[in-house]
Amino acid sequence: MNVKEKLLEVINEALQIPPDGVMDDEKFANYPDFDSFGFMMFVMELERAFEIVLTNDEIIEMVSVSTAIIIIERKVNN
Amino acid sequence: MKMAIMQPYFFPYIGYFQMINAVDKFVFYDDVNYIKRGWVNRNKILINGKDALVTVPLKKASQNKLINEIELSFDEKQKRKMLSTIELTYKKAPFFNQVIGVIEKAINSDKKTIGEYASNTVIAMCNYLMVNTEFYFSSKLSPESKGMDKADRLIYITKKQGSNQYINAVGGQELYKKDYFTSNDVDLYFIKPLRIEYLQFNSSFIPWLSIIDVLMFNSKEEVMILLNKYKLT
Repeated sequence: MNVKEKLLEVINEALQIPPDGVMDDEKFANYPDFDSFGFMMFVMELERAFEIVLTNDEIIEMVSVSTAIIIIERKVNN
Repeated sequence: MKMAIMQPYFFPYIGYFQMINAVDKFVFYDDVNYIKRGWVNRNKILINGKDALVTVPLKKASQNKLINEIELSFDEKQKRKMLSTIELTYKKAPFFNQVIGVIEKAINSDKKTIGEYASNTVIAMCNYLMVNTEFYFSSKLSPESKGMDKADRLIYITKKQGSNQYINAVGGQELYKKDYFTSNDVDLYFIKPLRIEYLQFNSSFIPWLSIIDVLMFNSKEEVMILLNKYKLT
């Protein structure tokens, strides 16, 4: 499973949005069900799934699927 | 004096309680729209070594309704079923006997709306842990601010309570900017839980489950230590 597939699985799990409902460049904040608590759960799930710890700056930077992939790949490869 | 404002959630995970414990006053944001795919009426517990959802059924839940307008569709039989699922799952957990009565009372509560019902589960857990934060409901505290822009409303409620420090979940940076809060005389902080791990029977650890799971496997004293495992920026 590549980073994007795993990320979509986490989005589906934490934000309850199926993979076909997610667009790469759409901001998470624009999802109709977005709230900060739900997003925090998403961040926690992401850290668990990829075995990474995200910094505050990285969380701020992570606004969409595209940016999340860049950040996760950078973390996983370091 | 520090404040936080957050939608009520059903037996939420420990990060929610860290936020409550970090502030002096906590406002249940109960007069905002219900989030259909959110955590207002459901959470995850450990069933047979895996995470599984427990959900409070609702009457005609819709994103067009406010949290304090949505009634439960949760009869006695369904409450008993949920409770027996929790009992079966956790009966061998080390702190089962200490906490099951509190959970049972909260599940059997006769609150009519999900706003009241979910916030009651939070207050019950805080009472058990002896967390002294004061609780309020936005619908009662500040109904006149309904309809304001999201950030403006949080600032308004914070200032109305005489506070100048507001704590939000870390996911809120996209919605709320520190500069904007500062220009309105409120300091904005973001809280992010640090990684928390404890023994869950002998299976591999599953993090970020409901507070129910945390309380079943940890003493009150241990939970109080976990409540301080966060980063505030």
